[in-house]
Amino acid sequence: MTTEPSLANLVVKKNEPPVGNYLWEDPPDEDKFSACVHCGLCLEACPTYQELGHEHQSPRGRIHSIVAVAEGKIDINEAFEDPMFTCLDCRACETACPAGVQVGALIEEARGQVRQARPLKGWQGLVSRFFLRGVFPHTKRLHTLGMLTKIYQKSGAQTVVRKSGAKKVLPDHLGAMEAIMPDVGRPVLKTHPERIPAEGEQKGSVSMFTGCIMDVMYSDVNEATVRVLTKNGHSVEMPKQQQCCGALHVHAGDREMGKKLARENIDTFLEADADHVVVNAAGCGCALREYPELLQNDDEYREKAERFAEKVLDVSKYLYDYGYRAPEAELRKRVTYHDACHLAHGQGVWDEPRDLLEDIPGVEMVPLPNADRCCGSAGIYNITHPDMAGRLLDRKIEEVPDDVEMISMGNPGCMLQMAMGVMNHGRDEAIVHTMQLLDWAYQLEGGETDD
Amino acid sequence: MHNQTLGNRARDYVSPESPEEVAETLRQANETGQTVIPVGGGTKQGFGGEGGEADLLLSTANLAEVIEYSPGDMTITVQAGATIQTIIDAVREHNQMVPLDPSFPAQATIGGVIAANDSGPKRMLYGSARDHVIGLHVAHSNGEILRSGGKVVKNVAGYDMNKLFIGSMGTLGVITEVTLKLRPLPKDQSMCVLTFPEGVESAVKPFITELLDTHLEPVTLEYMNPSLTNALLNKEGYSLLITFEDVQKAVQYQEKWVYDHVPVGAELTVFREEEVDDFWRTFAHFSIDDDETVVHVKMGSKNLQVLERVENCSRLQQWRDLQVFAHGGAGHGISRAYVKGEEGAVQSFVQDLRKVCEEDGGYAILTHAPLAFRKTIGVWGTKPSYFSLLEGIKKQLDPQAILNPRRFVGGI
Amino acid sequence: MTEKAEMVEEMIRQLGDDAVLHRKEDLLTYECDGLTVYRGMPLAVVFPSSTEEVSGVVKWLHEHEIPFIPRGAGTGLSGGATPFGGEVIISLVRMKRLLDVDYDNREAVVQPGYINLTLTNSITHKGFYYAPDPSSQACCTIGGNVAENAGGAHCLKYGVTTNHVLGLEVVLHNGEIVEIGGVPDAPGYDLMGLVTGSEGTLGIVTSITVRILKNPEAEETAMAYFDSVEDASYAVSGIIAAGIVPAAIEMMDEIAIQGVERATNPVGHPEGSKAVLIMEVDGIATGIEEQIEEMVSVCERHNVVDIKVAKNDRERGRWWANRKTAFGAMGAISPAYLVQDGVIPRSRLSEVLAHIADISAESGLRIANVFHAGDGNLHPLILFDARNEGETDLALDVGSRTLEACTAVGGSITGEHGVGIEKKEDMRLVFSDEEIERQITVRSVFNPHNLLNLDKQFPKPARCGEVKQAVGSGEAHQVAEQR
Repeated sequence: MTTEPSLANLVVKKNEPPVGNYLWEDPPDEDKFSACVHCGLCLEACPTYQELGHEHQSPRGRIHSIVAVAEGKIDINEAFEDPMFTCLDCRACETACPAGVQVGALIEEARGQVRQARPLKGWQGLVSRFFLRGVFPHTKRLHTLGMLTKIYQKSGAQTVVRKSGAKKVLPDHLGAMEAIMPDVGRPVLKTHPERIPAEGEQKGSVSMFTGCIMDVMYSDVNEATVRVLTKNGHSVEMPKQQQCCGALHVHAGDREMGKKLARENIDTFLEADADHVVVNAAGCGCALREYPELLQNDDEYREKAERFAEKVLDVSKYLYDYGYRAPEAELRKRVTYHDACHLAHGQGVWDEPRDLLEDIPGVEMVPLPNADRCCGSAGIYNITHPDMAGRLLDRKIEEVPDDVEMISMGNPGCMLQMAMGVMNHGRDEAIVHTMQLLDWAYQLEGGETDD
Repeated sequence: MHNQTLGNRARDYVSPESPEEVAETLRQANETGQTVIPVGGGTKQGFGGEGGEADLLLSTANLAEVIEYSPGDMTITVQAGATIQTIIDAVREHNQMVPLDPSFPAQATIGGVIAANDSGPKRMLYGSARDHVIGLHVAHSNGEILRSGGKVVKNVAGYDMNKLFIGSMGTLGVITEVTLKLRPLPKDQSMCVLTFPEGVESAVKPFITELLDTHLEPVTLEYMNPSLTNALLNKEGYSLLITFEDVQKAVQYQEKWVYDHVPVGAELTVFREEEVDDFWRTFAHFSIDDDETVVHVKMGSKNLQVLERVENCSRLQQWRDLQVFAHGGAGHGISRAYVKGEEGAVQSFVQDLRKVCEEDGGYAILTHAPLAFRKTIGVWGTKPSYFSLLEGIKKQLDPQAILNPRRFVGGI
Repeated sequence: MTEKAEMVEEMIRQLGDDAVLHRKEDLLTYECDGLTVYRGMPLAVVFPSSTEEVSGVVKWLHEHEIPFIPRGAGTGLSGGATPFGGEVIISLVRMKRLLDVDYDNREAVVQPGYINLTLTNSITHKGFYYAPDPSSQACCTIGGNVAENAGGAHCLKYGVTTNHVLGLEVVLHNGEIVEIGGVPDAPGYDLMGLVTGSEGTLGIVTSITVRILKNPEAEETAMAYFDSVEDASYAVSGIIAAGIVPAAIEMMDEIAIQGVERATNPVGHPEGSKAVLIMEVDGIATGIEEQIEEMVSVCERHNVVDIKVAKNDRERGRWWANRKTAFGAMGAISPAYLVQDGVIPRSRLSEVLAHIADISAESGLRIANVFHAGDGNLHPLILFDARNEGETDLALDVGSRTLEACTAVGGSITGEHGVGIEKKEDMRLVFSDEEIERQITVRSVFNPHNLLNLDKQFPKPARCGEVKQAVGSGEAHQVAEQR
């Protein structure tokens, strides 16, 4: 064994095309990965590293692997795929990174390469294609699926399944998911007119991005959001042609479909021409704000994407920045707040939702330790990586202070996951969206009882 | 060195004029297989060693120069034979201090204090030799003078070899030069003395716990038994010495806190300015006539166990015709007992005390005792489990074992 | 079965499947630590969860003469955890429990993979903290801190890791478990002091007892801008001469200021500032104000352009985040950097900084300076682009020259980052061959076959005795003959 130090053999040379193993469009961007100086400040921010302790399952390690493929040192194979897809895409590392490395974008680009090199086969491929290509991009089909779920719930079939124990046949996590499925209402995109006027004096007007899952699973949150906005003097427009944001596709490495959806949304919302596009689903909001990144190599849409992305704001930030009034009625609840990754780390929205909640008379905010650590939902991560998702969920629930009545957050994926966690741990905290709490407070002003 | 009963004597005596001469002396001794006892001010003659006479007593008396004092860097480099007092005096003009308060500063040399790792009550806040020594020159038995550390206050180049020599009792080499970190002299100081008449001493621990839970920053929390309290303060009962050194406002604020929290039954006396220095000077020079067997014991424990150590001394003194002066720092874990009496009584006292200490995970070593006494009950107590490592180090650095033979742990 | 396969099988038998990494793709991420210019592939990475597991692994590797490297978070900046090629890395990140806190005696016991800042966060509700605060404290392990004898911004007043370690449990080269320290001045040579800072070459620390301190009653932080590095340096000397013991005095120069302002934690340093000092005093509340006032007046005597005191904890937190992420922030202005860690007598600051500026001008590489001015611990950040032919070598050379500038005034080559791989040869700038050899003989007591972090920290002494071939794991490795 030689014990002379060996200098790093860097294959990527400046101003030369990489000779490595990325063969498809949108490879991980060299400028992005060369900003990583390997300092390690991201390590403890990374939930998967905290759980596993493996360097290749850390942000720094993943970037190291991404560079190694670019340098042709390793191939795009199962060993490369695993850490890329074990990443939650929670972006906590980006908050921790002193150099502003865009880890999320790099991972998404790498996933795109992986999916090209190693398309999903068998039932995984089937399921993935069914949802990502067959359902989410088609608002109508999604709504139909929502309807079917609703029928399933209302018809008593759910009760039968729950009682019969047929649920036990389902894999654990899917069984648990089934159990916490919210009562599906009707999507606001279908029930509401295209334009809802502000109450009282108009202070602003916004376009609302309704989100596909949000609008199917949590249409009541969308309804609450519309009420809170209009109550505060903001008229709401809901362009009917809007599509799924494509976040799940990009996360899964299906950049092609992601881009297609992005272009359609950009066209739809630019045509509507509101000053702001508000979103109440953090995952969607983050994806919409990152369209310029997704379309960086699309000459026709790059500039449009930037123009669009500048308009996109999470509803809590929009209200905070453009005017809201604190509710007057008292809502006596002890509430803790969980930071959705794509709100805090993805969009830098930390204080606004907390401030909105604190402004509700009677609400007592109890801090949640490590509030910004991922709950394990991460889009469809809890389905693709149930073990890791479960570990993170357990940690999250264990840290919820004992005496709170509600856990508030700003993302439907988190809401589903947290509801499952609360149930699994035999607890009874209510899982609510920040807009729902505000909405209730405003409704109480009308004299309804605090219940 | 004059005391016949303390041992650690030699047939010949040399007092080299330079570090090189020290090294050369060692080289020659090594070649001829002569054993060497290094000596500074001679205040540790009764510390360690269970063997017979050595061939050569090597004094650092002629190596007492201040080599370099850099007030701007708050460091000083001195030869090993410089006394603590010399260093204190050298740095005082720039309002600085060497943060070490060992016994007999006027006689004890810096080399000896480091080799024996002596310390005083102020180590609670300021630390001990291992926290202040940043560089050493050491003459090794093969005649080389090797440096460890350096002259800068932060340094992790290679192993922290300074640490090996601190407390090594001169068994690995002869320290010839020392570089120390200094501190600014405090702008103000005061000492609150709480005396607890016997029976009230149970109030000490709750008081200390309460004090430690505040933001106060005492320099000492030294606890003394009634005999020592009587000898040094002319008061009855146990006493607690709480020293503050800071800017004036901060000292006054802390003093006020103590004033407001004097435990029921305790009495407060406050020393200020020079009175504080005078007291600590007396403290550092405390000694007892050795018309009978006199033994000094050093005990190491967890911080608050010090209170038990001092009380152990009182308990074990009962039924024995002994004088026992004991103190210990509740913020640093070192306690000391000065015991005087008939040899058999002292012996059984020390053995019982050692047993209590070792059972508690600590130790009790003799820092001063007649040679015969040391031979009977041993200086260092039970050998540590990792003794082979200590032995290995000794073999590497002094393979012929010419330096201070059998002076150290396990007969090293 | 190959030797590697046999080893992997044994490790899996001892530790379980998920505690052993051996695929090339996974190992690649362990080819370097926080210093990326040197790299080597480990044979495997293993993740023991207990002292007994560490002992079992070490015993087997020792018997099979396979060299091994203990590793914490891998944030070291001197390549201490970087393999030369063929070592087994023993990662301690799964040993991350807080074992005990004894507030009365002001001690905490942690496993080596416990994160530095997590300790402070876990005891802060009782008003306590752990003093050594390396800039990587949010992610570095206390085991790694012990290995490197880590420092940090507040070491000026509170000392470095070695001043806060009270006891260690160590697995020796043959798997034997020993406990050292535990009470102050334990009889015997100070092995605790020796092991602290030994960069994993003397044993693997598996449990650490550290001193914890009570939070100071009050702290005040000031930030002062200067038109020249010289003025700032004189201000530092002036503050020390005034008899103030600041908790920290940090300096950043113009390029460093540009870097942090363009990165994640900008605080609005005025554009064009040549130097900024961040100064902190802590202690008894009633005494703080006069000390801050005195520091302000010293700065004023040295032509300070602007000086402000942090309004609240939040602002202080932002200032420190700005300073503590400065290394990583260089990523915003340069694709790579090499950080040096020289120490000088603080009275020579301006002279050495001028020398470093000359080296920068001559080489054409930008050098940012971010450093602990209070203790003269410089961190020249040499900015380079590894993708340019020959620039890595140039950066390494510039690094060594900055260290020469430090040792020329009586300084040291490293204050807190350690020697590792990077500064092995630079050790000759501060130590003679005999001095280096003596340290190696001490190593041989603990690490007789040089298996523990093989050949780190020391250059081969020029007059080192014969070198003999040892029968190893199929690969011959050289073992310096014991004397």
